[in-house]
Amino acid sequence: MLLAACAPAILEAHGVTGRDAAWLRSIDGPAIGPLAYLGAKHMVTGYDHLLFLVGVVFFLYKPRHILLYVSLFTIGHSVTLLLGAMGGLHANPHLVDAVIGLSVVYKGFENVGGFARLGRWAPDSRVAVLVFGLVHGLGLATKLQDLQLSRNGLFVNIVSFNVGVEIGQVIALSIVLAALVWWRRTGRFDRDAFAVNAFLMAAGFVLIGYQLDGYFEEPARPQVVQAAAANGSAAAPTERASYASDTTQIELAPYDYVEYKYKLAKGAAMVYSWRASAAVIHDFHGAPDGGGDADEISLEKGTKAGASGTLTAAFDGMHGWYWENPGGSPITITVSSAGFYTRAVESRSNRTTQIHEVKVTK
Amino acid sequence: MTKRLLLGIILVLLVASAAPAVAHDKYRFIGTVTKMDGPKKLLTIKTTDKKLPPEVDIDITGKTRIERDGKKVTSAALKPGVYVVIDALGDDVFGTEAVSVRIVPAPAK
Repeated sequence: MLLAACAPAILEAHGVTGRDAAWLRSIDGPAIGPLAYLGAKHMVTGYDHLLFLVGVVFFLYKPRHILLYVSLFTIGHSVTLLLGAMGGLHANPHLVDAVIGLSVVYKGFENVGGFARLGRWAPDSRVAVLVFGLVHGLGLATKLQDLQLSRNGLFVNIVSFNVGVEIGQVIALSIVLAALVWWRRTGRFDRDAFAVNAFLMAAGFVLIGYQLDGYFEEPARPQVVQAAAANGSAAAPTERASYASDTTQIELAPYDYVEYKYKLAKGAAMVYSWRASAAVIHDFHGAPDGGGDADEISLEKGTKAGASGTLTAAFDGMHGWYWENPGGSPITITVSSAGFYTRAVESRSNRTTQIHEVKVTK
Repeated sequence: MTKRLLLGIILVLLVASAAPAVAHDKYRFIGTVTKMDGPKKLLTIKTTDKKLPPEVDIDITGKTRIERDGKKVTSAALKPGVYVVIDALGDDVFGTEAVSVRIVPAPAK
């Protein structure tokens, strides 16, 4: 239960997010060192990959066996990382991560002797490690695909990221193996091995549950009308926007808040102006598609009664305002904008969402 | 060994069943306190938002920050009639835990 209780923060923390993601989106050309660093960081902090690796080496004692299994895992994830990021091999990130969770369950189950006890057939563990390695690589690739990296220097950057992943794996494995060697010497290893592998299975099931929950909760993707290759991006296709304009009036009850955002593709621009009948707490920000709260990037925040300006979207996603009424009297906000967006979405504190039609100029 | 294995699997499934509960949504409730059940740590408020139930119950936990004028106060301050702004997390409107409770002046009518 402790694991489940801690899960949200841990699970949200995984992936290439926040400043790392913003920086990756901004690079245009080879960046070997930073990409290698990010790859290593992703591996060392990637609990799903680490849990699987712990399961893989748990009962391996001979160095040549460790080398064999780790090599199979490395070959597997390198192949799909390169194919995924360079060749456009794509799968739903939630489903890929759910299978990665299954890989953790599989190793835990095998380590507690599950296959030997409950069935006559067990998968060849070398083949399983290779196949699950392919899935782990696809998981890494989907994270990079979602960032829509520039084609300029992409191959060098992906290879650098992969090298970083391997460096991170060596670092993580060294720590895990050192801990295992110490643990085996204490004499408690055999007694506690069952509990640790049961924990691995539990962690795997939690990962599966969390990812499936995310998959079924995920809103339907917008209609695809423009291939990514056409605009030089390595990412998934995006929505094409015509020039549109919008004027909306929003009533804000005492102490209540609202979010009003436009759907903009990377590079799309808009001009905006908003005025409130009294000062409001505001946060002008962007939320990348597929990201969580932690991925939101604030552009301007404070307390005031209006603002105007221009915005060029740094990524595909929703861009707009959080407005909060700090006082006990109702406030009216009028927002006007024009630009290359496809729709406006108003989200209220009572969890209702309203999609506003925008006026499209043909 | 088989007994231990089955016991382990049951434990694993129990823990895994808690996984969907980790996906919490954010809620804001604004309204007047009608009841504070101290022993149950359950706060009931009459809401102002017509799209929410007229009355909602929110769990108060040890981690809930209760404040008035920016200063921390105890749950004893949550008396009937007090106007509050509550930020909470939960799977639905009927099962939420308060993250913060702000006691604020009631809006002018």
